[in-house]
Amino acid sequence: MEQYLEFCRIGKAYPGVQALKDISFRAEGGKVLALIGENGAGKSTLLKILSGDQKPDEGYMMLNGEEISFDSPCDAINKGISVIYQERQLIPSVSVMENIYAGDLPVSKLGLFNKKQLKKQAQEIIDKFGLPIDPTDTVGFLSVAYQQMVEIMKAYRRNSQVIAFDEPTAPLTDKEIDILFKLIEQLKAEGKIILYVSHRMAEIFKISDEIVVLKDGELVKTLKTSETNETELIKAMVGRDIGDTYKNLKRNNKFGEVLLEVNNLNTHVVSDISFKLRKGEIIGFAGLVGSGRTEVVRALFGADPILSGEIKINGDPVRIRSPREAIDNGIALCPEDRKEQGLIIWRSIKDNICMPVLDKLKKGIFMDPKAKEELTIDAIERLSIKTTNIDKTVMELSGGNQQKVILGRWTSDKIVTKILILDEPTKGIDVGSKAEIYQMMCDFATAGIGVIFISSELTEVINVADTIIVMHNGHITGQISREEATEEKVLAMAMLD
Amino acid sequence: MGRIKKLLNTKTFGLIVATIVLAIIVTALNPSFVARGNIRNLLNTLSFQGVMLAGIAILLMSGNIDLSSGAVAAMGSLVFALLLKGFPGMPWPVALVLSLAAGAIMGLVNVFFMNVVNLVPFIVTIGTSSIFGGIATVITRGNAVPVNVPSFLNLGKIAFFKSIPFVFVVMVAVVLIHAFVLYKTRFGRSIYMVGGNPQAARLCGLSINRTRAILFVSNGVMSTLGGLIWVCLRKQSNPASFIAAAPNMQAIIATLLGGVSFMGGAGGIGGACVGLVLLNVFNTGLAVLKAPAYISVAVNGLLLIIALIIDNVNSMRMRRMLMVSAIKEGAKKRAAS
Repeated sequence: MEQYLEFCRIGKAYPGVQALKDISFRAEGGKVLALIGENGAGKSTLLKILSGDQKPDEGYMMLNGEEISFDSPCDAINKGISVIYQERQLIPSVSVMENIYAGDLPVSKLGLFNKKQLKKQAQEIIDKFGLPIDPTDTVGFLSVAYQQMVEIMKAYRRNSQVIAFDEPTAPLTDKEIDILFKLIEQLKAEGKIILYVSHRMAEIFKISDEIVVLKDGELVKTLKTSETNETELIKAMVGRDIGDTYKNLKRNNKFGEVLLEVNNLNTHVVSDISFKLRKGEIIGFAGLVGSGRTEVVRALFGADPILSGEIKINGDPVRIRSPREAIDNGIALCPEDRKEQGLIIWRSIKDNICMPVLDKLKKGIFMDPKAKEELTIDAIERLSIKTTNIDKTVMELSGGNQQKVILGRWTSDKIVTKILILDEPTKGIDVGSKAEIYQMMCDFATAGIGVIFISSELTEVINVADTIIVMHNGHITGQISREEATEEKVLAMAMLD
Repeated sequence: MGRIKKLLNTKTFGLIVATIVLAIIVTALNPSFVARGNIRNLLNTLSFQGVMLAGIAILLMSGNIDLSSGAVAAMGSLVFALLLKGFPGMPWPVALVLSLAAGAIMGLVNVFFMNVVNLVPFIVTIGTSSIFGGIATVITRGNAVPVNVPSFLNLGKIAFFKSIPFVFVVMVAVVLIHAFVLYKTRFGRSIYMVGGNPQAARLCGLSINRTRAILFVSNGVMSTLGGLIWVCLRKQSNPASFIAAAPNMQAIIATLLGGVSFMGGAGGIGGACVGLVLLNVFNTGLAVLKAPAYISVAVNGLLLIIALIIDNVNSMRMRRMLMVSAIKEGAKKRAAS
């Protein structure tokens, strides 16, 4: 019997964003269907719906002609769906074999846990995929690549009909990617329905049979891989005339003296990082997920320990051992994960904006509520944060407005920010807000602030930043100006070995 | 051979060596450490602490913690003493079963607050510890309730080869049963999974709440059994002094010292037992060497912190492996090729 998974008119909205709209397509058994699209196109949301993590607002899914819906991720797994995320769902302190068979350990006739049998069964699966793993290895000590393989074997063992991969190759080396692709070929040969989400063109052409292109939550095109090419795909993915957004930016083109100088910075994750940031300049950090961009700025901000290296601000060497010291040195960080690291989500806009400058908002030894209010209203007006009042919790705001709250916090007149670091500031926010945030960055630069801008969206980095630094595997692999930068050049540096 | 090599590399082996070295040092300083009476005392202490340790170690492995087991033991064993006092005709095994049932009920109370009310184990057991301990002390008004049942008290006097107390054998049996469950049953293996990554375990169809319920009820029973051994040895139930002696804290310290992760998911019951022996050799050693009585309390605290530092270093190592391995290993492989 032919197997297939069908998405029927799936729709999903989050506060402020229509994440998915009227998505319908069909994935067939024995084929690899690639889902592509820019960041924020809706791929992750679709996977979340498939894995039972989220419920669609509209539409339904069908597996082999029967409608399926899930109460929980567990339910989805039981119904034969395995989604392999980058954050691996493994138990690090336990052996490979027990991870593969978790929840279904073999027992002997007496009902006792049968370690021998487990080892044998696990070894069979490992051999089937031809992997050099010992079933008794502790998963936590395997490399990320092999951890992912364990995850795949777990899905295989469960006899999942549908196996979906979310950017599986991001942390892998070329050789490991080859092994992964061999595994996927095997799964394909067994008639599994395979969904494959990736940013990497070359891979998609290598592994997929069909391609679904998503853009801003809508399905643009369904294509046969053999009948298309990269140019056509990029056109379908981009499509929207984004050129104007960048052309219309009022940029700063007067750079001052060197503000920040980093020499041979080393941490546990990145090595030999050197660069200079001038007053009024926007430096963009590009690179694939896991290339070490975030780790560089976390170290600069004192959030991760620095092992060696030198940091100079305005020519003076400084030591930064904690975020407090970084703030005192005029460095501000808008972190990657807005909700977890950037904001205290259940507190008001006012509390979030006033947080780092509380000691400047005092009357005698007590807080001055009026000063807090004024500071907040000033930020709301400056950055046009959309809210009905200043005591609203940040949770109730849209992503773009949440980001503006963080920006408002670091740019008030009570705080001297010389260097503003934005880590993925436009992640998960709508196109309109993105343009606003780009303009704000340019405005900060015009005001003489040095801006460091990290983004996984390549077009965004190379069009907004004045200078682009490219990272790969914890090293800087290139530096290029906006005028010279093209997506191809930057990607080559980001993926070069 | 491979197995032996593996064993020699484990932390447990290091702990065994440390224990032996410590015992030798103490004996050299004061040979009365190995006097029959002293060894007997040591084994008696190990008996009730070991029984409590078995339950606590498994709880820690599952990512839970029970701070109430001392109070549960005090309350459970008080139930035993009061039953024998109130119903002079009652055979002591009946009272024993009823008091163990009381322990199970106290475990269920903990489970109720965790699984139904959704509070975290740490907070729940701090609360129930005060509740059970408080009730027990109020009932006795801080005094002891004597137990005068010769057939029961005899159990505390029996010793094999004149030096291995019967209660010690009971403890060994309890530990072996726990080890059997942990290593030889599906449920036992799932304890590691639930403790190691609850989210992942849930996605594999394992129930976190069910595991927790079974372990807390069983720990209520084990704690009470530990309390009963204490009663058997002291010929009285004295909740106030039992709680003050905090054998459950000793068990927690020993478990962590023995390599069980405070974060759950790792460690073994053997290691925990070695940790307990080490702790008690330390305490008895201090007593034999005429150190002021309360110095051992301070030293135990210090040992706990050391154990947590070791645990922290280990889990940091694992976390760092997870984070760095992609980047570093990738780079290494590239350099090699």
